[in-house]
Amino acid sequence: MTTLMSKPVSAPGKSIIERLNIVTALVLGAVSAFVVWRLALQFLPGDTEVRLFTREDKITLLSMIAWFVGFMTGIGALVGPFRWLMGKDLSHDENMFLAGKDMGINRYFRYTTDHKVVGIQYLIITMVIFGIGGILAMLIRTNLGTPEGGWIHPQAYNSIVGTHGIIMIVGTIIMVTGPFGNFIMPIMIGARDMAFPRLNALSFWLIVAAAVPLIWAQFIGGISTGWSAYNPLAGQAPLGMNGYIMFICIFAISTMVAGANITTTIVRMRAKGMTWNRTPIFIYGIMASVALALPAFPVFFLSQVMSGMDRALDTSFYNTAGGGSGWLYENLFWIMGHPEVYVILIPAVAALMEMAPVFTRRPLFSFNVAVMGIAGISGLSVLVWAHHMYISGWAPLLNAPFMLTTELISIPTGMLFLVLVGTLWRGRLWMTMPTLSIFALLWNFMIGGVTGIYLSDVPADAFLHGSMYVTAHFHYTLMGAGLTGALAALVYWFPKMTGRMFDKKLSWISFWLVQIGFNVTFLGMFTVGLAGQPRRVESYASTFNTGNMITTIGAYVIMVGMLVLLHGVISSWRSGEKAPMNPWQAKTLEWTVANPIPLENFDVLPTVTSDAYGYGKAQS
Amino acid sequence: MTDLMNSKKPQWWKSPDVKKTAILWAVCTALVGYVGTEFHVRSIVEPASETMSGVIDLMRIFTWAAAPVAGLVFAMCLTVLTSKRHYGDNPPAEADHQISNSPRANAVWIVVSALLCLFALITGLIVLQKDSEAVLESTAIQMNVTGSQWVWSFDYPNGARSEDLYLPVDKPVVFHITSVDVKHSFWIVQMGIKMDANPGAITEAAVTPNKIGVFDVRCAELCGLLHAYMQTKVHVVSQSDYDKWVTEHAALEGRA
Amino acid sequence: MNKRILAALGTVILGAGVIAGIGTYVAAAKNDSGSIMATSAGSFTAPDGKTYPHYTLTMNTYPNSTFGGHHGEDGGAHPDWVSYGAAGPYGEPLTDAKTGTNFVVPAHSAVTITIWQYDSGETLNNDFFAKVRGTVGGTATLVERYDTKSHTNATEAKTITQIPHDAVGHTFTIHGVSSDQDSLFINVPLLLANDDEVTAAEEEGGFTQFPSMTTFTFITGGEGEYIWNCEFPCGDGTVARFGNAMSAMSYMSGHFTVKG
Repeated sequence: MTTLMSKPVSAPGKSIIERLNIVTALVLGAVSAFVVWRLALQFLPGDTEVRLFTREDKITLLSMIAWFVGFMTGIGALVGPFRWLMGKDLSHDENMFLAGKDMGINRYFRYTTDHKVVGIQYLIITMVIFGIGGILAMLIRTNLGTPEGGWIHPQAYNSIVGTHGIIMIVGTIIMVTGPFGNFIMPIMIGARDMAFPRLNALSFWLIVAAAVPLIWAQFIGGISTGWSAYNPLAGQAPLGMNGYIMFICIFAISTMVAGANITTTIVRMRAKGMTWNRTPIFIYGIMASVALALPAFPVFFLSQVMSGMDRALDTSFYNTAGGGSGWLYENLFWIMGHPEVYVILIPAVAALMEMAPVFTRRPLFSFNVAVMGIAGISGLSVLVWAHHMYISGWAPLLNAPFMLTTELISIPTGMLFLVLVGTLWRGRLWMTMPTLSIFALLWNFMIGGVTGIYLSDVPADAFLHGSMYVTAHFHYTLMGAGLTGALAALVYWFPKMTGRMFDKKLSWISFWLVQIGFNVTFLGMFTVGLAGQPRRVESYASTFNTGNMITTIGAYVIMVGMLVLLHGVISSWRSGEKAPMNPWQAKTLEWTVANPIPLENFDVLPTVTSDAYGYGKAQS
Repeated sequence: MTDLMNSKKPQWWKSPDVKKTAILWAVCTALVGYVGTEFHVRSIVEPASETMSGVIDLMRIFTWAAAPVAGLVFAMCLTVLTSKRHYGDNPPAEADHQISNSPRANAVWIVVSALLCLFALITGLIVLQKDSEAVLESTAIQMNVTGSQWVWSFDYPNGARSEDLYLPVDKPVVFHITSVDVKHSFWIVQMGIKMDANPGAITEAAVTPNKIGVFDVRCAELCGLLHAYMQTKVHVVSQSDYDKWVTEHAALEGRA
Repeated sequence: MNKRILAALGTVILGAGVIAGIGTYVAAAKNDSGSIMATSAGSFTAPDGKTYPHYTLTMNTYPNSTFGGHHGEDGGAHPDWVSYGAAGPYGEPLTDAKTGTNFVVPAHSAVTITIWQYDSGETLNNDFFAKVRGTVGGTATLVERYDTKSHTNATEAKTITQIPHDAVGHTFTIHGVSSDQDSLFINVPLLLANDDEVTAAEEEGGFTQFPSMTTFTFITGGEGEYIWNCEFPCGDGTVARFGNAMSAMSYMSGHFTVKG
């Protein structure tokens, strides 16, 4: 066994690994999709009777699966497992090649295993996702600038709303754990890489593979169902729905793989002496996030597999006429959907909790309460999903218990507030964009949290559910709190990730534009929700005109702010001021490695003797 | 461990920043409570039923209950922001005191938030109980509601049918809601009730309109192409007008 | 203003331009069919004695889109989808009409619509739509078989208030958002055409000689933006048969604008 597995392969000339990159992946993916499409068109029997779904659904799904397999093969995901099956393993040189040793820019376009490369890849794809999602948001707000709507075709509008929703959800899920969880986390815990470097590369390239079916979907009818893709409405949607199904399935695998990898790394690979008491709070945030995703995303995966089976194999999981139930879909969807919002939120808040001591020059207030808060939210969040279904009629008797669990979440959430204000209290405030972001988070998350209490209340929800009020509420939590934390994290860790400082002036300008625009946008949206405007409408009664106009103007301000930020990223990355090793004088381990960071981070693995928050002298 | 309990030091509540925060706390609480309730009450629709008035009262109560917590957080933020700030590329000196924990503050915070949570829960449960019982009201008008893409239709007990809803004032009504195609959500905006219309199932919601006038029904669940247009009006009229209207309309359906 | 801020401003302008470009592209892709204005036809005296300016509209419903018209030559992207389309004065298909399913009518007027229904039919999802609703007198005039060759009624015209809910070809149903505009709700079921004749004509690439013809009149209120759609489930291959043609504008739905 051992001899078989450790026998290195001598690679004369260029081995297969060295030939594979994003180009081979795209080509192989496209070719497989085309070949399978042609074959299916040729050999798949036609519909002999009128079926709920047509042959084209089967053909589309098969072609998309072929794309997926082709792309992953082309990028090199199968080389390792295949070698292993043959009883061989990768040679040392090949492993170093995979880690991206001495490869320059090329390593970002390959199946590279170095966690720092994966972190940068995640950063770029997150920015691309936010860019696309932001453009779609602008289209939505422009269409809603006037009551009549109709600037965009209503079904295209529905599809834009759905696509904006799902890709922003995906973008926010990966925005902290992707770039910073991969790049910063291993250094922060004093490790040389992740526990499973090849799984790390796999989780990233799966997201790229997933993106294509979603883009593809836009050209075959779109996903006209909103991001939740409720059945039976999804059963009316055009062929584009298959793209949504494939996208979710592949993305769910990516999240599961990343979750297993990150959890293992944190549990097993912390530096000597980094006991749980000395582990930085950001690590807890990352771990809670991915650990929550572990039970949530298999359910999401399953819900979409069943949706795909309904479309392609004539099953009736969700189709009422065939004995299925739309409520089944709603349950599966929200069993993923509610933990998922905390998958997004926790690491963003934890990132700001990590920065708060640095920018107030004092210790984190009540570390234990912070951990309890994160653990409490994680635990409760798997028990609240049916508050999305208070008025679905599914189980009115369960409304009271789900109201209980939902409102209980306010207790651990309150703990996070306590930790943040406690840390700020009597701190020496060092005014930077991350510092401002802490205050912005407290403001936005307070509004998001308090409006969440109204929504958790069944009688109030009977009025508010499905209205613009809900839309404003979750933007306050996911964007006002989540994205604010992620943008602060970008500015904070930018010097370590790129070796250059983020342009200070631009970070401030974009901060104020985004925050002011954000509050204008979504306070306006609250008012139209209260006045009775439903969600996801492409036109509305003229009484909602003023509120929508305010919201649209606010949205344009956000757009300007985000473009300034984008400019800041590009210009600082290219020609920003060179960053010192530890520009913020922070005490976590990632600031102890040199810029640029050596391939294996640490020559000698560090030993930790205290927590990372020892600012100031104790006075007692 | 903490300076809060150190008796050799001056009492903590006498320090100037605590006093400042206390004043700000009072101001912020009042502001959050007042602005928060006004924001909601002014934006929200005029209620046309007890249920809706109850929703507005709940918002008022919850806003005022949350105001001290939000007020404290904002007050502390303001105190911090208005004390000495440091600009520049290098960090300021480290804060020379250390309160890295305060079990008393933690305990107070957690107990208070638990009590607030309990309060919200009990308030909600009382109203929920009332709403649930309304569905069982035996004297109520039993109305069938059908969602079809993208029109609501209503079936009255005497056989009348319509696409806009007529209801008598001050009379309880129970809606039996279903759909013939996809999920819709039946929302009488000014009456504060909403219930999904599911294909293959019947769900129930109840309300007693208490105001004569014209109100809105909107679909609150994305139901396809013309979801935005799946709306109609509710006419709440006197009992005699209602009787006249349903009799006429039952005759139109040939069911008088 | 230093150089970095100016550069950032450049990025903002560039980015806004890109977004505007994408918006224009998406908006242009909506492929709107343009609007048909109602034709003036003298005045109309309602049963209650009031007189209104009178306008007329004509339209056809087809079992497929091969008539061209606003879908373009050979039926455009989905020639097999059922569709409404512009009609000539005797129900003849207007194959080169660029307008199809958006209508504009004047406010406070009587509007008479005539629809030739060339499609076969079946059962409604909701029998509510089998009844004529919202028209003058709650009635419509139905010619079960209209001869499009000789421009005469092959069967006698009769006044109807409803048709059997399992004999519906399509419906014409107007509604709008609940707002400060006047309510306008019209529903008229259109009788199916003979199934065998429809199929036979389709195989020859044409339409049946004997569509049903339905005429009805309603009074418009003030200005408003409304929508109309068909309530007969004709989107085969989807849940509740409301996908495909039913879920795309300018096939079985369109805008209905009342102008002052």
